[in-house]
Amino acid sequence: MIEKSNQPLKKLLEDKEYFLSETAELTVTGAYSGNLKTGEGYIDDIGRNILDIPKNYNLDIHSALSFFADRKKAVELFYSCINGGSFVLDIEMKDYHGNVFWAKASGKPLHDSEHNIVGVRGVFTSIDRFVRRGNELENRAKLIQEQNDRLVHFAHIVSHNLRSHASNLQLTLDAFNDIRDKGQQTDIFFNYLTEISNNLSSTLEHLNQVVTINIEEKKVQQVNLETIFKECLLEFKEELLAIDAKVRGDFTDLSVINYVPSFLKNIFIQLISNSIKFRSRKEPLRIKVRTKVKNKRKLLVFKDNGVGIDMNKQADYIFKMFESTDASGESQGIGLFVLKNQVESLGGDVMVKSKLNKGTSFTIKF
Amino acid sequence: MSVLKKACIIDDDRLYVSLMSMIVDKYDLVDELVLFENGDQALKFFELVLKDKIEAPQVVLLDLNMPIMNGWELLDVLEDHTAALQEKGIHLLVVSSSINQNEIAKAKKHALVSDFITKPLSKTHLLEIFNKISS
Repeated sequence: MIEKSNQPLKKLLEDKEYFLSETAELTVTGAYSGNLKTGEGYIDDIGRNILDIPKNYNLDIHSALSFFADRKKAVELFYSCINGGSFVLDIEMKDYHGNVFWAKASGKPLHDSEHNIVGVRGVFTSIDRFVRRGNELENRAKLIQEQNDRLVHFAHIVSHNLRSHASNLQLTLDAFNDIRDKGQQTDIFFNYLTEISNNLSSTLEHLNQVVTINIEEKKVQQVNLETIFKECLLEFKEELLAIDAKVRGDFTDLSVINYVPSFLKNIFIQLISNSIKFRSRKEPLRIKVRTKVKNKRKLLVFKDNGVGIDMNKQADYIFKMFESTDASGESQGIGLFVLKNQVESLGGDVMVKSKLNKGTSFTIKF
Repeated sequence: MSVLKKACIIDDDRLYVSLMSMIVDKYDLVDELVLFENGDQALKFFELVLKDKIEAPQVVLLDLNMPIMNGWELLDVLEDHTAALQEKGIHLLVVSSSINQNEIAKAKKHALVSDFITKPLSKTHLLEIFNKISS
């Protein structure tokens, strides 16, 4: 009868023990205790495994200290428990062979049957893998940061030096123009040189835009999307009128965001000029712009009915510098490259959907 | 008669300096053009100017990136004499190929600097500057 009434309790205890040992095994968590009164030390099998302690090794309270990289710190921790305290922390331990590793360990007072504190007990597990991985990542991040700094510096030097040469070339041609005899054969060469100089200067101008994106001070402020969009449209007013383009903007779902105003302006300008450049010759250009909030993400969708992009062939080139996405070979320049960099430098993203001869849709995730 | 009496260019880029001299000569912009390759050379000149031993230039075109003593270092030394130099009618313009916005803002804020010009400094721009200062 007695046994029977104890059945549920026995089952419960068995379950508890089972779950505890499973957890310990899965997480490789060892248990230990040390009795100051008797000087005895105990460590379970998992703990022995972690420390690689031989089966016959006799652990006592003193030899236990040798498993800590910082012995003094271990003594302090144990004393704090004897005085009624407790600890949970990451600490450097040493296995039986002296290999140091990071462990997460806990300690609490050990009581005797009369509730007096007689020692310490707790659990510990190796977190060496995670700590090392964390350190490695940190070191890599540092390395990447340093490399990035060097690249920015390099880009500056290059752009600075190139600018000096380009500007001297311009000046030289300027001076040459004053003294040359017009109508001579040298005219052709003068014109070639002038064109080269202009191209060089404009390429440099583009490069400098790219270089400055990430070092420019990014002053984020509240901006009205529709206001900026209308400002940008004004810059294309005559062009849009001439090609009979129709532009519709709907900013009701999201009218104000925190952004760098100059970046937002550039986003609109690049997208509008891109639509004009790659408009269909068969029908007048239609642009539809709207803002949305989807899963808390703030979006801007910019659609046109232009010639579209063959996503199979050109998807990789859309945001690259100086790549042509036009069948006629007309250069796309760096507009979309700068746009993507600006959006990404503020933690956003740009996506494109397009079908050849159907139009293109850019989605900016702010 | 020239537009200005005396001007000074501090720049280590010899080609640029030659071109500037050419333009200055051609349009008869100054009577006397003084050239320095770095801040250190220019500093000695300014010390004499401050002691009234040499006539002060009306305009100084200062480059930033130079060996030995760069434009920033020269500006730092001259900063203490800002009032004295301005009293002598010196207009100091920084002319650099830098497009670093922080550098441009820093230069413009400097008490001694009246303007920042990004290279290339065109002939037209140079004429404008000299005419403005002379008027």
